[in-house]
Formats: sequence, structure tokens, C-alpha cells
Amino acid sequence: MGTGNGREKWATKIGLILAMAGNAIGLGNFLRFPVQAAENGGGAFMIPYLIALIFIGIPLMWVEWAMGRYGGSVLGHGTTPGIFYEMTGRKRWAKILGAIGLWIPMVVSIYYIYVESWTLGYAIKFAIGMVPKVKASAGSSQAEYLKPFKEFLNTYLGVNGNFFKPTFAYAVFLLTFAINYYILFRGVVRGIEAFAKKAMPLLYIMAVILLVRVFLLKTPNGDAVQGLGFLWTPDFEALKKPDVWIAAAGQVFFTLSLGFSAIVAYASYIDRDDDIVLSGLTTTSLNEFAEVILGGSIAIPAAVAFFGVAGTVSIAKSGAFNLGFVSLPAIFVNTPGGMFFGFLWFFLLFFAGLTSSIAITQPFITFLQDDFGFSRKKAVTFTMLLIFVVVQFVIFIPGVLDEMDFWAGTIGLVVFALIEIVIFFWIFGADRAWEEMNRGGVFGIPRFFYYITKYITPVFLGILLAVWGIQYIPKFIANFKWQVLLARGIMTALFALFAYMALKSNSKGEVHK
Amino acid sequence: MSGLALLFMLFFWCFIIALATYCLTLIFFEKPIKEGKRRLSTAQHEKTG
Repeated sequence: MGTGNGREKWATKIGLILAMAGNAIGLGNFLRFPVQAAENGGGAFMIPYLIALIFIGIPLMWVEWAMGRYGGSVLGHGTTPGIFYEMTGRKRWAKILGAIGLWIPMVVSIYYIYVESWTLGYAIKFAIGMVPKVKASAGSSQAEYLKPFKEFLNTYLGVNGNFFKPTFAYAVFLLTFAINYYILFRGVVRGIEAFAKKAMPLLYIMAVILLVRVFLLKTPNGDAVQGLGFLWTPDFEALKKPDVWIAAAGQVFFTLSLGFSAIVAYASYIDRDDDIVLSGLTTTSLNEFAEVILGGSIAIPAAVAFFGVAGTVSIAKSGAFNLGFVSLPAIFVNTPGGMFFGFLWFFLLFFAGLTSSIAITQPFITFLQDDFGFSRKKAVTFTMLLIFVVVQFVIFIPGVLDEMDFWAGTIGLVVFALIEIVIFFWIFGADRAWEEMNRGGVFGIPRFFYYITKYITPVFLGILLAVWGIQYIPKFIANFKWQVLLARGIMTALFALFAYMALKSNSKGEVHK
Repeated sequence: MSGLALLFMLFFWCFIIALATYCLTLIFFEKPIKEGKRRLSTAQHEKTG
């Protein structure tokens, strides 16, 4: 690897891949995936999932890697305002579109760090044994048994206490924030890469330990093998439902962290002739290992072993969040060594969240360094200060988080991915884009991916956007609560700021630091 | 767990494990392979030159 045009470079290839895998592996791998699979046809869900991986996931992954490497090594811009500007032949509107690539990761980072802090808080609570110690009894219903754990979660989040959250949750948030700040402050190599090299192997080890524990679970209601059977039994009728295909495409999109600009920013620290074909594919395979094999074998099998198939169906219907924060704590409390395994579960989620949050905070830092000549330390401090101010609204005002998650963390990602692919393959030029993707590759990308990336991926993204737009946008737009309007105001102000900064940024590709 | 469910699970698990193993093997052996090729081509060049 080494040094290029004055920008920092990844020290090792494995460090880069682990950092990229850390970006992709998040809470969704362990919570969202099993629930989506269980609700959408079990084993049959994997058919559209695999198709979406080939038609959307892998092509977009290579596109983002290629854009980032081209931006960082040729243009001196590691973020989309500068990259789009140059790729469109220096059109100023492209900078505004590129600002979406700063806005999405920033808005998501603002609430993601807060959600990540809940996992650390729960890990601490399990480590010190401060969780409800309710024992399951033969006579009590599932709802009755889960009630104390639901109340525990509500108390932790301060849902019962309106504006002012309990001190413990806020203190843990500050700790989580400080950890993020510290890693980013140390830089790409000494901070992000060094952390990924330790955290990612540890994450896999923790997941394997939990998997073994879950496989040994056996209660009168069932066991883990029944859980795997529940998750993997294919319902081929589900393949006739368009919703299942959309759910699979959405899951692939989220799991690979596409459309966040984080891959672009990370890839901008690669040398011009370094391979991205194999690196991108390795990142994808590591993510899929964590999702399909590890993620699919922990939460749902544990729930089936403890609550039985019928009980798990109602848990899965109540959402991934309830499965992770209500049902699993209830299961761990009732198993031997439960405090340790509960701690391990939430610490695993914390690591998964942390490697993702530092990745999505990075694009704005890269932007400040490349386009405004900020030093690393100054850029990190400015970014984290901005996050710290805005996150207060997320913490203290209920409803802000959901609104941000919908516009930036759901719809925004698909819109931005579509913009990326149109600019890279249709404006910059398909042949140039293809050459960029293959440059320095350990092996060549099969030619059919050229046509998939040029024609099929944008159409797939367009369909996904249209369906989600029709399904969800009318429902979200119709909400005029003051909290929702405040969230929209904050997001609009952030976008206006980033668009203004993008227009004022250094557009000559001069690297200052 | 039905046979079909087991078949599905094992197919996807094996596919992902095979892909990850293939990628990681190439990653770890990429440098020696490249250097080996380079050494070979240099030796051939010297021989013919």
C-alpha cells in the first residue's frame, strides 16, 4: 500500500478489508436478517436474497469501491461532492447531489451512535447483574413473562419519563461517543484500521461462542435445531409475493451498507493500482458469513428453543428490536451462565455497531480534510461536535429518531445509490467505469457484470424506490406532529449546510493535508 | 428440521463458506503469487534476452 498523493493510506490489505467488513457488519446482521428471513418464506427467502446480492449488492459494492479509489488517488477527493463534480465534467449541480452523500451518513451517524450506546448499556447491565431476574414459570404466559423485560427497556430509554432520560443511559451514551471520537481522532491507520484488526476477529469469536451456547439450549418448548428448521424451511408460495422480493433486496442493500458513502470514503485511502475486485468480494463474503451463518443461528433459534415456534412467530412479528432487546435478555436470564452470555450478546452488538458508526462518521471528516484543508484532528472535532449537538434532539425528543431513520436511513440510501450508479456508469461512462472497477484486480470481473451494473442494477433500484415510496412515503408525510416537523427541520438545515459547503469547497482537487 | 430445510441451509452455508475461503486464500497468497509470476517473467526475460 504506502503513500500516494499526500492523503493517508491503509497500512495493510487485511486491515482495509476488516475495516470495510466492520462497516458492513452491523446490528442488522444479527437482528434484522433473521426476522426478515423468518417473516418472508424462511429458506425460500434466500433465493431472492441471493439474486439481489448478485444484481444489486456485489455490483454496487464494486461501484462504490471504484469511485472511492478514483476519487482519492486521482482527484484528491474522498467524498461524493468532489467526485461527482469531476465525473460530470465539473457541473455545479453535481456538488449538490454529492452533498447527499455527506448528509445521509451524518444523519444516520447521529442516531446510530445513540442506538449503539443502548447495546453497551445493556452489556454493562448484564456484566453487573442489574437486569430483571424473573424466572419463567409453567403457568405464566409469554406476554406476562416478557413484561418486566419490556418495562426494563422502557425505563432504560426513559420512555416512561418523557423528556429527561435516566442518567445511566446518558452516561453510557457519553462513553460510546467518547470511544467513537477516540478511534476517529487517531486516524485511518492508527485508529480505524488498528481497531478493526482487533475488533473484527473478536466479533467473530464472540458470535461463535454464542452460536455454540444457543445450539446447546434445550427446553420443553423446543431446541435450537427446531429453530433452524423454523428459519430455513422454504415456503415456495412466498416467492410469488412481490413484497418478499422487495424485502430481500432491501436486506441486501442494508447489510452491505450501500448508499452510505462510507465505502467511497474508506476506498479513497487505497492506492491507484491496488486491487478492489477481490477486496470487495472478500468484504461481501465476510459480511454474508456474519449474517447468514452466525446471525441466522443465534437470535431466532434461541427464541424457538425457549418460546417454541408459535411464540417465536409473535416475537418476530413484533420486530427485530424487540427480539434483540426484550426476548433475548429474557432467554439469557433463564439459562445457566446467562449473565455472561447476555453480556456477550450485547457486547457483540456493540462491536458490530461501533465498527459501523466510525465508518459512517468518516465521510464528513474526509470531506473537511480534502475539500477544506482541515487537519485530521480539527476535522474529527468539528464533526463530532456537530453530532453531539444534534443528537440531543434524538435523545430527548421521541419521534425524531424514527423520522431520521426513514428519510436518511431508508429512502435516502436507495436514492443515493441510484444517483451513484447513474453518474458513474451513464455520465462518467460505462467503459471508463468498467476499466476503473477492473484496474489492478487480482482477477477480472466477469463481463456479464458490466451489463448487470449498467442496466439491471439501476432498474432494480428504481423498482425498490418506487415500491417503498408508494408504501411508506404517504404514511410518513401525513404525520405533522411537532416532533416530526422538528426532525424534518433539522434534516433540512443539515442538508442546506452540506450543500452550501459542497458548493464552496475546493474544486481543484488540491490535497491540503 | 425437515430434509428440505437442512438441504437449503447447508447449500447456502457451504456456498458462503466456500466463497469466503476462496477470497481469503487469494488475499493471503496474492503477494507470493504476484511476486512468483514477476520472478518467473524476469527470469524468462533474462534467459531470452
